Amino acid sequence: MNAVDKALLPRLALRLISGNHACALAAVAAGCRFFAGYPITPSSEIAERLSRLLPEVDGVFVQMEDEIASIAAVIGASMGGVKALTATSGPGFSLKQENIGYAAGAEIPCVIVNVMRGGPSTGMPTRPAQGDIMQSRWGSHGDYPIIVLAPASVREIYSETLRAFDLAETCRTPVVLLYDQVIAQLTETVELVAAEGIRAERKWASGAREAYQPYASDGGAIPAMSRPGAGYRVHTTGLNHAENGFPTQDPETVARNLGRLLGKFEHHRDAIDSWQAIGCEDAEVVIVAIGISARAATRAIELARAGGLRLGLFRPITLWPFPEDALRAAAKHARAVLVPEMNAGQLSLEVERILGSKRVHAIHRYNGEPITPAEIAARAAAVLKEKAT
Amino acid sequence: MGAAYETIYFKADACDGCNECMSACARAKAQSDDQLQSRIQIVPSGEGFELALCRQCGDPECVLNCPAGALAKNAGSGVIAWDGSKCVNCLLCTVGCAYGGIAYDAQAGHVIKCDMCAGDPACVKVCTTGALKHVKTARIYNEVGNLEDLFAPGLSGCQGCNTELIMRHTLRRIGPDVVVATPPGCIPGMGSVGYNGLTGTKVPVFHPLLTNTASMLAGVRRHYKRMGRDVMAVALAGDGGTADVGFQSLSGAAERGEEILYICVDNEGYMNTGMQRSGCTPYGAWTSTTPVGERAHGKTQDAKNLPLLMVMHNCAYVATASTAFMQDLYDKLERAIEAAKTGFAYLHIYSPCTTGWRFPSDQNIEVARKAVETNFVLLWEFNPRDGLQLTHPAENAKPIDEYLEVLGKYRHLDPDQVEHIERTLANNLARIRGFAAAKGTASAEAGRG
Repeated sequence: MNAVDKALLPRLALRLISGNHACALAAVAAGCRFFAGYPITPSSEIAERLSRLLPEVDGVFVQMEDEIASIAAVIGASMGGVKALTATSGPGFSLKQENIGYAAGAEIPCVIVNVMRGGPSTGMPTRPAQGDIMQSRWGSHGDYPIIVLAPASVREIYSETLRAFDLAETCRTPVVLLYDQVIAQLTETVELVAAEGIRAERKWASGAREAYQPYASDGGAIPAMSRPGAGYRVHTTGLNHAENGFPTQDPETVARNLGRLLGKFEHHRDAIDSWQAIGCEDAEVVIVAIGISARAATRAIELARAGGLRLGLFRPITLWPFPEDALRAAAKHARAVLVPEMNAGQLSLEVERILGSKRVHAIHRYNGEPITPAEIAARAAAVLKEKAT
Repeated sequence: MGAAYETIYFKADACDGCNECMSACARAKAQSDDQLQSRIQIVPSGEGFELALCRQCGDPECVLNCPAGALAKNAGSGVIAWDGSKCVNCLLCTVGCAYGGIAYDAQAGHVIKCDMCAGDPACVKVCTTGALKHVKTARIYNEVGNLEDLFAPGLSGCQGCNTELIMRHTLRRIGPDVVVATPPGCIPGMGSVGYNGLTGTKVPVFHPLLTNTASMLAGVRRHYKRMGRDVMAVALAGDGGTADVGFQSLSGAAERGEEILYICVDNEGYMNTGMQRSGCTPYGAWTSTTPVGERAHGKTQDAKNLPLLMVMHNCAYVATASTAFMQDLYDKLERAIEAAKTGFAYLHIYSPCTTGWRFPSDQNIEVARKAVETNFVLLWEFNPRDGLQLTHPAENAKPIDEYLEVLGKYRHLDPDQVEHIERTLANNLARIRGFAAAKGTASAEAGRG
């Protein structure tokens, strides 16, 4: 038994905990040993928990002076070789965007939790929203790839936090864990899995030091990182760079390297993609939702089916890159698709892009109140009625 | 509303019976060494002492009893004056007084009583134990009491909130020609936003972001100035939004000499979001992100000395203040308001937090007072012309334990940590004294405004 397991042992098995608490425990279990953050409702519990957990496993907890400093310290720690995490909510997520672009472009693994609250701006700090779906994908400037995971229960926050660290390390990318305030502060039973030491290993450079190219890759499109001090020559920058890491404006080199960056997830979609489909085989209406709206949809399916209306649910667990082939398959036979989401229309845009706008309907709510199962079921029935007339 | 007056306050349990006050009074008023000729009399009573001294009553019996019109209360100063040319030596005045405040002096051959030494009582000046104090807060009551409270009644602060006191007092003095910025924190959370939109301020207020209070205010002030309107730009911000995430904006505004009054209400942490540490949280303090347990023992770093950082910006005015010393706070507020007309003024007010610091809600002013009396908090002010000066004596500070022991956030401290705090306070004092000694030198030339 290693030190990590020993420290966590008394805490294993069934626990009744909040989503944020689950996130903190999972981070430690995933091998995260560095957290830098800044207080912000409704994510502060992650920082508070980790301020106690991380010292127990000889990890580092730092409260920084602001949100920008927090993500920057996380990037620095990750360049040093440690799995690193920061957690925030909407306003802080906005502030972090420039650094998220840096991590994506320089390909530095890290995990960013964004607990969605009302917006825009300061919004409703203690109320849920799902308004950062597009920002989590497109928030930083320029073209870049990013992975966004969208858990819908406390248990899934635990498992997706584990997966977030794995994907960050294996795909050399920032991973955003995106969930709403309800899931964050909801208390549910979770079966904590035993930590088996470090889970996914980063691909480290080996071989001749002279030949090392920090941004050259094999077929998997993920370049090997070099351990600091191992003697490999590295240049890390936010500027567009060539395979050797140094800035370039040569059109051909920029296109080749940026093209490799933008396409790198395509080699790893099996590991990245994750979704849940419930009752889509015979569904007349397929609901597409994430987070607390997906939880309501699960209940809506039961309500509707009891009344003879066949609903199904397609729930992207990996939100970005969107599992579009899976959605096409799930919605193949449905007469309509309904997207309930707590914003003015974001997920529905992506669903329309994939399925075409004819079949796609939506419930858009941005008043801080979750969408109820009854509302989803009623709207699905109404949509079908419209189709019939 | 009736007027209030300055008064001499007697703290019986601090009196050691040295009688120096009586000697001083006799010398000042009768050029005599005879303590019987003193207007103030300290009288042994049981194991302690009692005070016989004119209280300058609002409805004085002595004046009513006097048949000759020799006693009269001065409406301006509140002092009851004795006029020897009218006195008929009937001694009826001494019969009426319940405080032993007026008595017959055999050597002088007439009654004697305290006249407050024209606002500078000789007895108080020689009292070394703090048993006698000249309480001058009457001015606040008389001058400020009639000003409108610009916060509506019924804010949703925690019971015994010190920050509410600061908000109400400062805005009352600043007056209605103001635009107030209250960045995220307790101040808007329980104050300027109010409860369900039904309370809050009676003046224009906006809720900037945590990152940019001083910048948005700079825009506001410059706009009004361009319009030729005399409107103050005031920030009421917490220490997190000031010292941490808002510091870049604050520093820039101070460097540019923006005409802003920036008030930092320092409760030593992010109390509104659940008591996380800030750059102003002191060493050793428990917060929700500086936990206490087997490995951790509270915050491991010292607090950022934010007001001193603002001195280094050479602001038009910088001061520290405490609600336990209201006269001092108002004096500084007035100078800050004046300074903000032509430059950047920064006021750092310590605000004990009953919820986050773990102490009973009726102890707020007491905690604030102890912080100053133990030198945990130093009260001083700075302007580029005169440099820095302490406004509350730092000599004879009480032991730091007296402050630390009343706060739950320090309950876990071990002797090494207390020693660290003592060392920090000594360093802080030495540094401030160093600045005070260098006053009025190079900084005067560089001063703006």
